[in-house]
Amino acid sequence: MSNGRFVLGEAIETFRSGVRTPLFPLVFAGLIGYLVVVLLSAEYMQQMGAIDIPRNSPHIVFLMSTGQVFWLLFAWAWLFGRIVTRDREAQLHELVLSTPNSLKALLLGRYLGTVALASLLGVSAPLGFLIVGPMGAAGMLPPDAVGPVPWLAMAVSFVLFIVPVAAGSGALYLVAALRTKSVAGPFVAAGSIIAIWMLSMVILRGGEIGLDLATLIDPTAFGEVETQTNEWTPREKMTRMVSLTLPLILNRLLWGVLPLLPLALVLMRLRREDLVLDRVRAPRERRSAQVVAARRSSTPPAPLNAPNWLGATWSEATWHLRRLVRSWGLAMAAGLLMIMGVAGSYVHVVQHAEGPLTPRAELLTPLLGEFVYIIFLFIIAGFVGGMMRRDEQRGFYEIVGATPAPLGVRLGGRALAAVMLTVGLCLIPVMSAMVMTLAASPGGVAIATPLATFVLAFAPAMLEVCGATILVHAVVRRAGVAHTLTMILAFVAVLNHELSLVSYPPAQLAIPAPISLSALVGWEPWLPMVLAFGVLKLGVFVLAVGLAWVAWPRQLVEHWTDRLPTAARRLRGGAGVTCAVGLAIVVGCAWLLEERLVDSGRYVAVEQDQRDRAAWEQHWVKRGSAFSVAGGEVELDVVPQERTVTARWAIHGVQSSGEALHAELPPGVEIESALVQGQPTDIETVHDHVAVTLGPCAQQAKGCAVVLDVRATLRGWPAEEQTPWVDANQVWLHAHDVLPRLGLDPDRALQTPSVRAEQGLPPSPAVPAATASIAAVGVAPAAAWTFSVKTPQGWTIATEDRINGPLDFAVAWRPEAPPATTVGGRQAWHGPEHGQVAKQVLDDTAAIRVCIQAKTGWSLPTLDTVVQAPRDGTPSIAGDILWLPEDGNWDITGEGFGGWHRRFVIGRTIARHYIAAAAALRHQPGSRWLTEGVPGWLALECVRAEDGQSAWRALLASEADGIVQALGSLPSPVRGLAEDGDAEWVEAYAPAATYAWASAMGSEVAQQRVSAVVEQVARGTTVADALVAQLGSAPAAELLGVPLASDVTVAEAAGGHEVAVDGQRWRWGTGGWQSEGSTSRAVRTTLDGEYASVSTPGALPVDDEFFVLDAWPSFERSVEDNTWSR
Amino acid sequence: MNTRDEDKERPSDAALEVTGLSKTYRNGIRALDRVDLRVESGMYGLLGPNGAGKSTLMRTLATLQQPDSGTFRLDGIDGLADPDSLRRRLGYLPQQIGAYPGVRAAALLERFAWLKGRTDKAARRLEVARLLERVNLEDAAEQEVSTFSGGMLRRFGIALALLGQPRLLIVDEPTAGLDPAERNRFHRVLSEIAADAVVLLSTHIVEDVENLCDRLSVLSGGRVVAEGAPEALRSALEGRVWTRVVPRGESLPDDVLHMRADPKGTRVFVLSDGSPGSDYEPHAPRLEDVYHHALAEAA
Repeated sequence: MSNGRFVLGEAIETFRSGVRTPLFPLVFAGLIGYLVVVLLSAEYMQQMGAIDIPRNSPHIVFLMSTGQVFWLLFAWAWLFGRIVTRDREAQLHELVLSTPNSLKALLLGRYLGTVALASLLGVSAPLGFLIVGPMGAAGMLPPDAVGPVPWLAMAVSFVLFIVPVAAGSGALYLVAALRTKSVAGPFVAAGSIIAIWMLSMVILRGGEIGLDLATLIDPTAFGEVETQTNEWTPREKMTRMVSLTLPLILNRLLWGVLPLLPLALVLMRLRREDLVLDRVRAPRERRSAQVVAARRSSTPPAPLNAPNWLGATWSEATWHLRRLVRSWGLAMAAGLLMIMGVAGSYVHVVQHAEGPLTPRAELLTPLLGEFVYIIFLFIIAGFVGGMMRRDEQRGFYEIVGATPAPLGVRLGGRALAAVMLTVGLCLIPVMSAMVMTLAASPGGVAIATPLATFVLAFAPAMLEVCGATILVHAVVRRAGVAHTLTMILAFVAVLNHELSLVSYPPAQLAIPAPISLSALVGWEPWLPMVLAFGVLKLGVFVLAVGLAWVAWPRQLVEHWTDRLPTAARRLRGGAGVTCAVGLAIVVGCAWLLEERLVDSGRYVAVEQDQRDRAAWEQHWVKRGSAFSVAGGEVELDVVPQERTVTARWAIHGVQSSGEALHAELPPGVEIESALVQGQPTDIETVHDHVAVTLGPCAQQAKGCAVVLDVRATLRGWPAEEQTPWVDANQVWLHAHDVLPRLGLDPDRALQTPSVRAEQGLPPSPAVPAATASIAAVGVAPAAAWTFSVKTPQGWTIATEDRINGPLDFAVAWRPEAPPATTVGGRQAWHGPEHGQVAKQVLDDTAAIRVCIQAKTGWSLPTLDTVVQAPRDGTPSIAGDILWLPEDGNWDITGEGFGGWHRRFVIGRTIARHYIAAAAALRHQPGSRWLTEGVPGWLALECVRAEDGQSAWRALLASEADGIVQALGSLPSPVRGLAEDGDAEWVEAYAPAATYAWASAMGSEVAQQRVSAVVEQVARGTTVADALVAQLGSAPAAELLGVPLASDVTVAEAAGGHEVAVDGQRWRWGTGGWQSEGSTSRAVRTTLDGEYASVSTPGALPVDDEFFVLDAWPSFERSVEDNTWSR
Repeated sequence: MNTRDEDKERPSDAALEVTGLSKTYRNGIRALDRVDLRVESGMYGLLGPNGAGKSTLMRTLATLQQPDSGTFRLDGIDGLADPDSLRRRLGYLPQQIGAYPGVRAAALLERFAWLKGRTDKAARRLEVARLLERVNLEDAAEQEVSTFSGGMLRRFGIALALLGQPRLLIVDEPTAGLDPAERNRFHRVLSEIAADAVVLLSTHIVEDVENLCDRLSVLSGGRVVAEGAPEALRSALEGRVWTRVVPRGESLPDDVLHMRADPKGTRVFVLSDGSPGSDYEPHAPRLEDVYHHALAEAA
């Protein structure tokens, strides 16, 4: 037979036998099944940026195809390992190798057959999208979720993302298998490839320190696909193919072609004896000390009486742990964890693009959890799986089975070893944190926070993976199938971690309890919840171990039914007790968490939230009525020990066009009683909304005197990473935590048309009148309010007692005062290690406040007090105090983007607070132009004035990135700035567009127009009408309409004597950018802030340095080419 | 020739008593068919061709497999009703043991010692040390098992099986693949053990059983087709076994008991009360003749 025919024959035989392995249909079906689950989840699709576009759109095909390569790498490792191990397992390798065929041809044929097999396995991801059509026809998907079959995207995915990496990784796996003559080599190679993937995603891409390099070394190409598709508009997501960028082409060559070289080299040098002889280390003869000791002893061992099986379990556990610890694989994994931790911390914290940041424990710890999460999962699944299979050596399995040790000793020992391994590995990120803080901030070394987080929150989550791995290996007899299944489980956990397939925290496998660490708040508020989560996950682990005990075959079995009688018997013994204990813990903790998170807490399932919001809209929106208030008094009584605030809220001069005063109720807030004109009145509370019956006084000139007795109780735990506003030892409350917000909140209405249709609502939500809506800031519209608060003895800081504006207040209380820093009569209250940052924050606040006041002439609060608020809050001003959350503000060190961004945030907060008060602003279409656009523009102006042109450009570029990403992951279709309420793109877009508008108009003129709009709104005009009145209908429509984009460029022309200016414009429409042709007019700004209008395309005289921006209320897509510098 | 009838007359003082053990696999193969055995202390041989049911019987006695019916007792302990008690008195060495990776011999022995119930650390270490000495591996105590030669692995296996001073030692094809020196050494170890334990030796090598065992059984098709002491079994064929060399090219006789290669052709053995022909010569019966005779009778 010719070599060619032999190669072909061997390839075909390899392919056939591979298809017949149990792993193949299992993995294939698993992939398709997983795809079905993904496609059925609207929430999952939303996380992937697929809103109101077909679920079989090309961008989903690309993302899923590249995403699934991640764990295909493990399945492929097993397939390519079989090239070497298949004959060895059957003890046929010597026979096969002695046949008169070329060894190279034999292995080449098998390699090619396995590449075909691996490709067939990989094609399941793109091919699986064919199921979307039948799913739509069966009514499993809404009609608009089913698009035409994406044949081209499927083919591109297969050819570009599956076949190359199957061939390339397969070559590496085969080399590893030839070297180790087992599947261990390929799996180690797979682990190494995943480590490179992690390096690419976490360090290079996540840290934004080398996107091209990140693309180059990413074996799955997922990062590049995600980056490209993130910026696609919805229309592009339905039609566009992945661009073949140079880094992507090089990546495919690197992973698809380059690995063939080492394979070719190995095949050329390979001899038959390399595959026959086992690699053994030279024997090391050394007489054991215990043997020597035995010679001296004349006492024979006593007979076996009453063994101490508990002791044996411990011995078994430590024995397995020693084997793990001594393995070079674990040493490599631990080293990798350490490197990932330190390098990730350095890149994401010290060198953060929005930094530089100080690596404090509270900032570093959650980030470390993110860095090591994926690799941790696979380490646990791999090493615990290996431990479960350790005795499966020829003959030893039977010897172990014939020992009298109860199965519980063997399983318990392994389970204990798994626990110790997990906890031990959890100490590595703790060490990474210590190394990082020691290197970057020696004074800030704190072991307690990372240690508590990783041991109490992270380790229990990983124990769930341990339990699942132990159970899978106990149930599934074939090691390869079991390893693959555990890798699938780990992969699902990774995806859930990234995309929240399961959103109810206690049901999230392998995800730690949601906490938000803060230097001020500490661990105390989180401890009960973290412990409950920890015990729940421990219960899951115990239950899994119990079930494994039930299922693990001690004897040789032919068929799974043979195991049933044994399983039934074990259920009546120790295994049953273990299961019962585990189940009891799980049920008990699940009940507790349900009560704390759902019944008493704020967790609402997505589906329930949609139903609630739909019911709210149907019940209340039409009943809403215009209202106004003249002022009133709020008396708060804070009882931290009971986690309760009681409030007596007297509201004067309540006028309403309807019969009731409406208010939205925050979670845990109830109105216990209400008086109108001194008489008790009816209260209707439905769907977290309350209507207080007013009576005839509502239409009278003086209005009604209303008194509300409010009780706010925080009994539950936060389901998301939200710091509780009250705890036994601290209070961090804002008005909206403890009081109802007067009026209707238009943002409660569902926005996504498909979701609205599911809930039986019309396509567009009914918008309540501005005069019926809640205040844009605070809990009640601008009026004359007085405020008082009673707190226990200790340190209290609260809003001053008179508020002229929207009712917004904040209170902080602790038994002991936090550290304070005073600069020039201004004071900051902060965490113990934030003294230096506090000075910077005070300086920033003062400088930006002065700048905004100078630009606008507004009378701003003095803001001589700044409070470091818990990490997860939003910046706000209550009275004369700036509440600045820790996240993104208090970790910044020194100068750089972080400092510029903090000033921008402070400036935006100051301006927003003033406008909301001055305009007595209610939530209404266009109100966000006043609360986001104008404050953002002013803050950008002030950063430019304070920090210079480069700081301002960096912020503009950052805003542009944010806009593109927000528009790439829309939760609902774009309607316009006015209508899209709290959509993320509005927050990102409004400042940039307003800046362009103001530049075109000239800063002073723009300021005058804004002031005029504010005055008109304060007098009761809507924002939209006021803008029309001030600017005209077309400019107002552009400011409040769909997003506009420009790309202006400047370039040297006329031999260096002129600067050419040109540009393009786009308008958002039908899910994407529509060209609006060339830019017709631009604005040239100089370093000293002078503005000049420029016609485009056109030319400008050469000057020292200037910046050109489109004179259209749009955002600049690419800031880098807008600057001219001599 | 069978001595089973006379055994049935003996009082039930056997250390290991197997009664009516049957096992049929899902593929329909009847591996054990009402097997009865009575085994006293000493070495007991199990002979039989491939598929005779030896391994099934051994695995069943090692509590690794459940029989469909029947019972077995060791010193009165019911192996099915109370397998853990039996396991405390059991040592099992399967046909093959592999190279356990990454573990030193002493460490692996220690581990199996606590799994056997030797949970006292000092006693465990003492026993491990003595066993290593006994199987002549004391110099390899700190050597990784994966570096052992085939002979060392078998000796290590017997050390594993001897942990806990078993009353019943089951060894399956223990000398397969060993060189003569290792094989002799192994036999000596087994003989020593058999002084105060039941050693159940399963093998294809009839000579081993002939040299080592006090009694033996021949299994075929899942049934015990011959049972007794080697001498007694041999004596039943005394004067009835004849042999001659059949030259190459000459057809073999039909009634051959068994045959083996010979430099001049094939040496055949036949069973006959008188000389089957002039070219036959009498042959002193060996256990191999008994074995083949039993198989022929069973067939």
